[in-house]
This record gives sequence, structure tokens and C-alpha cells, in this order.
Amino acid sequence: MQIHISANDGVPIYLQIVNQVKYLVASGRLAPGEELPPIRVLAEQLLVNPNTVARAYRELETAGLVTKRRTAGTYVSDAGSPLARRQRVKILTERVDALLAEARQLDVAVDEVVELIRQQDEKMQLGPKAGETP
Amino acid sequence: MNDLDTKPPETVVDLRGVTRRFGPTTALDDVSLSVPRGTVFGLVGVNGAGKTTLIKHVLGLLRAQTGSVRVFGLDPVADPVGVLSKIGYLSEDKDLPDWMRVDELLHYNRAFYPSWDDRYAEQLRRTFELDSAKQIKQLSRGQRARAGLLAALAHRPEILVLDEPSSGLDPIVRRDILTAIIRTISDEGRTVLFSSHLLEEVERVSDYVAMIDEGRIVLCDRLEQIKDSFHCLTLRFDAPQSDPPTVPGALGWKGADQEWTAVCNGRLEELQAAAAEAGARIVGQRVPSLDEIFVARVGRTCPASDEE
Amino acid sequence: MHRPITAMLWEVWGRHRWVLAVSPVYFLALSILSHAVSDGLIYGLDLSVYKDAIFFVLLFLASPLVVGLIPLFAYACDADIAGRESTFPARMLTLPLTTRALVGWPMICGTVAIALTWLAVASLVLRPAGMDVPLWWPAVFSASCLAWIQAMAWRPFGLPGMRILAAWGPIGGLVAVLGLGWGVRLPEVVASLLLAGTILPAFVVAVVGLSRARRGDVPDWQWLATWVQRVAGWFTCRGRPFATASRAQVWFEWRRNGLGLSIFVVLAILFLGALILVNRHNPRLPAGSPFRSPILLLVVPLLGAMMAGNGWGNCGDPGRGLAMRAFLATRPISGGGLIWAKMKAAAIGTAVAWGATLAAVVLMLLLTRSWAELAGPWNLVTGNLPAAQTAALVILGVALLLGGTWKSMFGNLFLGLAGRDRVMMVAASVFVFAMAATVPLGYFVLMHPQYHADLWSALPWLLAEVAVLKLALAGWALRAIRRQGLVDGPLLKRLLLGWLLAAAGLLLLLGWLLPAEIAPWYLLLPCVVLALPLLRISLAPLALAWNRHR
Repeated sequence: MQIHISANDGVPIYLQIVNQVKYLVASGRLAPGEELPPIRVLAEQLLVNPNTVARAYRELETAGLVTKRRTAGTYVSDAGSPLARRQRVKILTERVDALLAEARQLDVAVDEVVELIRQQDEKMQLGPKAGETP
Repeated sequence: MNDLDTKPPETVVDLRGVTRRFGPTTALDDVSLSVPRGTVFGLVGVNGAGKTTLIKHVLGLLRAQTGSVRVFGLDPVADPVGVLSKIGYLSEDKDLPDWMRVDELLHYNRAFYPSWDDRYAEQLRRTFELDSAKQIKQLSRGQRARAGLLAALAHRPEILVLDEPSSGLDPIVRRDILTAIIRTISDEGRTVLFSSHLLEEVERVSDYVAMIDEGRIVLCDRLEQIKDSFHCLTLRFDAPQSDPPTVPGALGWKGADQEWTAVCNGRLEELQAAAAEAGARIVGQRVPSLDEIFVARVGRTCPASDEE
Repeated sequence: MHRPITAMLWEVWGRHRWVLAVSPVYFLALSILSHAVSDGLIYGLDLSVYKDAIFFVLLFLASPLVVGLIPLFAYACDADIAGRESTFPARMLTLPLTTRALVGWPMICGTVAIALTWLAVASLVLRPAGMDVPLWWPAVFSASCLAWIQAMAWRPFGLPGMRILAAWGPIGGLVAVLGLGWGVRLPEVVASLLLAGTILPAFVVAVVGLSRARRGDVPDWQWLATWVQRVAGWFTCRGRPFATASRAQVWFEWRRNGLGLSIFVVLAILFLGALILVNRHNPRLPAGSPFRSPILLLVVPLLGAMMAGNGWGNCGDPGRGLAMRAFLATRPISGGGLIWAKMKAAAIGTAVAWGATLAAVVLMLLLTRSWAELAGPWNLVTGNLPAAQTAALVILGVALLLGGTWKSMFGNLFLGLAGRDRVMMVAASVFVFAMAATVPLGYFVLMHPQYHADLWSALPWLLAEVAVLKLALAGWALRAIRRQGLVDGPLLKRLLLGWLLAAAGLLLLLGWLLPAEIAPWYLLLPCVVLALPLLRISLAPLALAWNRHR
């Protein structure tokens, strides 16, 4: 499980772990039923306090992303559960919020943004077919 | 993992009202500190703030002029053997005897600690790639730090005391030291007390952080509490301001004209209200890193430059 | 500060401000003393009879002024003179000066300063006391000594300790020149010019040495040492772990101090042995002179103990002062345990020194076939005593020699353990002034036989008073130890009991062996109390606690 922690930008470390695990699950790099590394191992790998990793795992469990089986470790929950899908939508919602805030700053109307999304999606679907280098 | 909310925290190191003067300078001014068992306690401060003096009090190398020092309930000055046999100490100075070989160092230390683990010592020696036959004076600075760490860890001490362990060392040795800290804390009931001014490392591994400035403790709390109570706010005014805004809890403003940024201490709602009162909008809000909190809390406030 | 010489002088002043400020005051005091003595102003007595004694005392007191300049100008005060690297401060090697300038300025300043100091001391302190002291050749001699010591100190060497051995070469050469000149009765001017001529070669050697240091070209002959260590490693039982912390600490203390002692003993035996062998063929020495008898070697362990005495107490980092190093202070061993380990290591040192000396004495006796010479002194001592008493005397003698050596090794532990430079300086000054005071007193007593009877009758009272004082102070120290818990109760009781038994045993033995007229019990008792170490050992744990917990 490849996670990168930076202690420089101020974001609490447990939150960085939670966010990255969420992203890995949502993008499919962590399959449902796959085991997360034990707290101690992950703490040594990332060079962070085991309590921080424990807190991150607790938060993930509360969010429904992982389940802790007693003495058997922590496993990713099934993808079909509505909570997992809710997580994925939530990640995208955050990205949309950021996009909209920037659009407002750059003084671009919402309709233009939606039109832009549709254009880029078409390009992405046509691109490889037309032989263009993406 | 240690669930600190269920067990009553037992205090391993307890300083109460300790003051220390060296001639006219006051190195520690009425310092009180408690290190709970099973935690990593980070002590941060600028050079000369009093971190090493505090740690020397814990080891019994300095007598408390006022107040009391208790380690595992014992006074390190009155009972040096009882206290020191439970402590593994790594100092920043070139402290190991130059003439000793690495195997002689381990051989010598083994006799003092009943909890010495030979196999663990050999495993650590191989991990650190220390040549048994080499004398300490022939080792590089990083290898010397590893040798000192090996001597401190091999008897699985109940508290690991590190005095600026990473200063001047390359990143690989620093990783070894951090790994040692994390492995120590992973063992039930063992504690780590370390002082550092590399705040990134302190933020990674500490449970508790105490900031010491000019001999006084200015901040002492759980790391998560500290991160919750400091906010880096960017305020935007409608009209350009010539002076920094006054918001209670703000520690040093940076910026000019309409946008001002500062690290602020307090609850977010109160700060938002205060900002509104000052006539500004909050356009940016994030959690500051420990480095930024430290610089804001302890550093000197530089006057805003008027180059722009 | 526009010229290098001013900068260098200012730096020397800055580093040794205190000493350089006190020295003129000290010099003035000595000068006044010397003038006062010569004018007979002290208690109106005519002291001109004791000219010789006074001269030696003044010379002894004034010598630090001259000799002290040597480490000052050789930059050897803070540096490790036994190390491999040059003692020249590394930061000065990066200054924009040629090596010749870097060497030349301190050498010129040093030689001029030391020569002038000698001239001042000779003319204002020694000559007023009445002795016609030569002015020029000692000035030039000390100047060339300084120049050669600078040359040796600033050159990097291949092995630690080699510098000290190598320095004896040039110094010995200078002394040889002096001796030769004295033997051939050279006029003073010629001798001075000859000595002055050696300063230029010293300059050249120093420049060559310092340029090596500047290039960072420190020769590394340590592979020799590692080879020796590997051989030694075959003989040490490194495989077996130390049974107790005390044994580990004894090993530590022996490795730190014992090797130096052993090397000193070996070198002293070789040197004295050679001297004895040479003297045996020297027609000018009388036949019974101790300088040609192997018995002279017996002085080696005692010398070694005196020189090593302060070394056992030093707990600090070598080269970083006397304060107890944190490594030692954080080992979980009690203060008493540390001191006991030092005493045990000193006992090993005593055994090694005496073992080597006795082996050397036997070897020398065999080589020179001079067993017969021992018969005379032997009969003098044992004479007409019955066998039991002779045996007891021999045992007593051996015990006193071994015990005396051991005692002088750990006697001054408490000074080194205190870990403060000021304590050592005060102790050294007290020692110097006590020596300076006893010489005239001794002379006075010798010269006036009419006081001998009175002094002899007063002696037991004096000794008794000092013994009572010692016991009182020791009692205070022991109470402080108990209060602070530095040594645990049962051990303390056992040590005290041991001391009492030793004192009783010694008293009985001496009372039996010595005739009652010379040694009545009231004279023996204070002597025994004063001889057995109590006060200085009792102060040791207190000093250690004062050092360890500041």
C-alpha cells in the first residue's frame, strides 16, 4: 500500500492517511476484502506514531470503509456497500467544489464550466481513436 | 495499541516547579512537566532554550535548585542506580569513549543492565551495519550515533531519552533513529522523551509536545489538541490596511494592503467572529504545521517589509 | 588590528586573560619577598645564612613564570599533546598568511617573551636574594627549548603519544650541548650563541611540520596499533561477559589509565636499568652509591604511583576538562561502586608495577652478579633479630611498600573526582606553597640542634592533634555520606571495621618489632592513624557526587 505522508503542509497526519486510503479504495488500487497493513507495520513504514495510524484506522472504520476483524487485522469493506459509493461521490464533490471556487475567481460562468466538462469528456473518448497522442 | 483513554495515565517523569540558574542566566524558570507512560513526548525549543538542561535534570546530571524531579517515582540524584538502569540515553555530543571498540562497548554495557538482550543487540548491530572490530574514533559521525543508539536500545529501556538525536546527521541515520523511537513505543508500556528542533520529525512521531522558550514552558499538550487549537487564517479587507489587524489570539501578521495572514490560537468560531468584527472576510483557513506554530509562537516578529 | 602580530598577541591575551593578569602581580610579590629577605627584614632575623635554601625556594616559586610560557606559546593548553594531530589551532591554518609567518610570529614572540621573563626573574627576584645567577645562557636555553617544543607540538605524528617521545630528542640534545659546554668550560657567550643557533633549525622543522598539518597530511601508523591490539585481543577473555557491573567498571578504568601507568613503569625500568649498568663502570661514583645498585629500581613503582595518582580520579573526557563525562555519569552504578572500581584498578596497577620492578631487580642482580652488595644493608636492618621478628619485619616491609604504592595512587582521587579546574588549581597551589614553606623550616631545624630535644618531646602532641583532626574530619565526611546515601550502610560498616582491624594489627606489629624507647605507644598510635588512608577516601564519594550531580 503506497501512501506518502508529508509533515510539512500542516494537514494532520491521520487525515492524510485517511484521505489517501479513501482515494486508493475509490480508484480501485485497494480491492475490497484486501487487508490493510497492521498498525505497527504501517507506522514503521511511514515513520509516524502508531497512535496516529490507529486513529486513522478508527476513522476509516467509522466511515465504513474498512472493517476491523478482531485479532485478524483490518480489511477493506465490500465495494457494493452504499457507504463505499458515497465515499467516492464525496471525493468527487470536493473536486467539484474546488473547480467551482476557481471558476468563480477566474470569472467563468457555471454554464461555461459544464460545457467545458462535456467538451473534454468527448475529446477523451475520441482522442485515442483518432490516433492523437493524449 | 495503547488506548490512553481506558487506562489512567501513569507518569514516568514528573518535574514540578524546577528552576535552574547558571550564574546570572536562568536556564529553567519554574518548569513543571509530566510525561505519561507509553507516549512519545517531544520537547521543542530554539538552541539554548533549556531542552538539554531539562533532560539533564531527568538524568540526575543536574540537581534541581528548586522544586522536585521524579523519574518512576524516584529521585535521580538520590537513587542514580534505580533510575538510570531503566533509562536508555543518547546524547548529541561526542560522548562515547573514543578508544572503545564497538564490541567492547556492548560488552561493557551488558554488565550494567539486567534487562540486556544479546540477540537483540546483535540484530541491531547487523541492521546498523556496525563493524565490531572498529574503534569508536574511527567511525563516522552517523555511525557513532548508531553505536550510541545501539547501546541505548539493547537493554530495552523503559524510557528512551534522546537529546537532539538528529542534529547534524544524514537522513538515513535520522530514519534509523525515528524507526527506533517508533519500535520502542510499539512495545507496551515503554516511553520516549526526546528533544529536537527538527519539527517535522516531532510532528511525525510525538503524542505530546512541549514548547520551551527561554526556560519557560509556553505550550504543553497533546499534539492533536495543539493542531486543533491553531489555525492559519488569511483575512481579506475591502480597503488596504497600513497596520496589521488586531484579532485576539493572532501571533504575528504577515502581508500587506488588503490580505493579511497569521497563525491564530483559539477556537475557530471565536476567531471568525473576531475577524468579522475587524471588518474582514476569511478567504483562507488551514491547519498550520508544527513548524509554523512554533515559529509564530516563539520566533521574533519581523516588521512587514515595504518593498512591494 | 592591522598586523598579524598584534592579532596573534591579542588572541593569546584573550585566551589566557586571567593567568596573564595575575602573573605580574605574582612576579611583584616574589620580587618584594626576595628584596625583603636579602635586607633581613623578615622578623628582624639575619637570614643570610640560609641563602641556598632561600634561593632554591625562590627559584621553585618563580619557575612557573618562565616554564608556563611554553604551553602558552606552543598552543598546547587546550589541545591534546599526546594526540596525532598538530596542536596548532585548525582555524588559524586557514588565515591568509604563509606558513613561515604562521610559525614565525609565535616563535619570535615566544622566544623573546621567555628570554625577557627569565632576565626579569633573574635580575629582580633571584639576584637580590644574593645569588649570582647567570643571566644569558638560561635565557637562550629556555628560548631554544620553547622553539623546539613548538616545532614538535605543531608537527603531526603517526601514533598517539609519539610526540612526547619525540620531544625528548631535541630537549635532550639541548641539555647535552649544555652539559658539554659545562664540561669543556665554554665561556658563557659562546654557549649562548651555540644555543641560539639551534633556534633556526627549530624554525625550519616547525615550518615543515606545520605545512604538513596545513595540508592535512597527518601520518597514520595506527595499523601498527591495530595489529598489536589484535594480538592483545587473543589474550583477553572478551568472549566471557563481565560477571558484575563492578568488574566491567574495573576493566574500563584499567583501559583508560592503567596502560599509561604500565608504559611509564616499563620505560622507567629501562631508563634506570641502563643508568645503573652505565654507572657500574663509572669510576667516579663511590662503591656504595645507590645509583649503581639495582635497588634503585625499587623507586619506580613509587614514582609511577605519584605520577599516575591524579589520573585515576579524572572522570572527564580526555582533552575536554575534568567534568564527569555524561557517558560515565549515566551508567547505573553508584558513586561508591565507581570509586571502589577505581581503587581495584589501582591495585591491579600496583601489582603490575611491583611485579615488573621485582622481575627487573632480580634480572639486574643476576646480570651484574651483585648479590653480595645487598648483604650489608640487610644486616643493618635485621641485625641481631630473631627469625620470627625478621620474618615479621620483611612482611611488614613488603606490606608497607605495596600498601604505600596503592595508597599514593588513590590518595588524591578526591581531587580529580571533584571535576572542577579550580579545585585542582587550589590543590596545586597549596602543594607548591607547602613545599616552599617546609624547605626553609627544615633547614632551620637542621641548623639549630638546640631545638631538637624540645621538638622531639612536642612531636607526639603535634601528631596526636593532627590525628584527632583527621578523625574528626573523616567522621564528618562519613556522616555526610550516610545522609546522602552514597554508600550503603552494611558496606560502610564493613569498611570501617576493616580499617579498625588494619590499624590495630599495624599498631601491635610495630609495637612488637620496634624497641619501646624509639617508639612508645603514644607516638605509634597517631602515626598509624595518620598513615592509614581514611579522610581522603571518605571525601572521595562526596567529591564524586558533587561532580556527577551539579
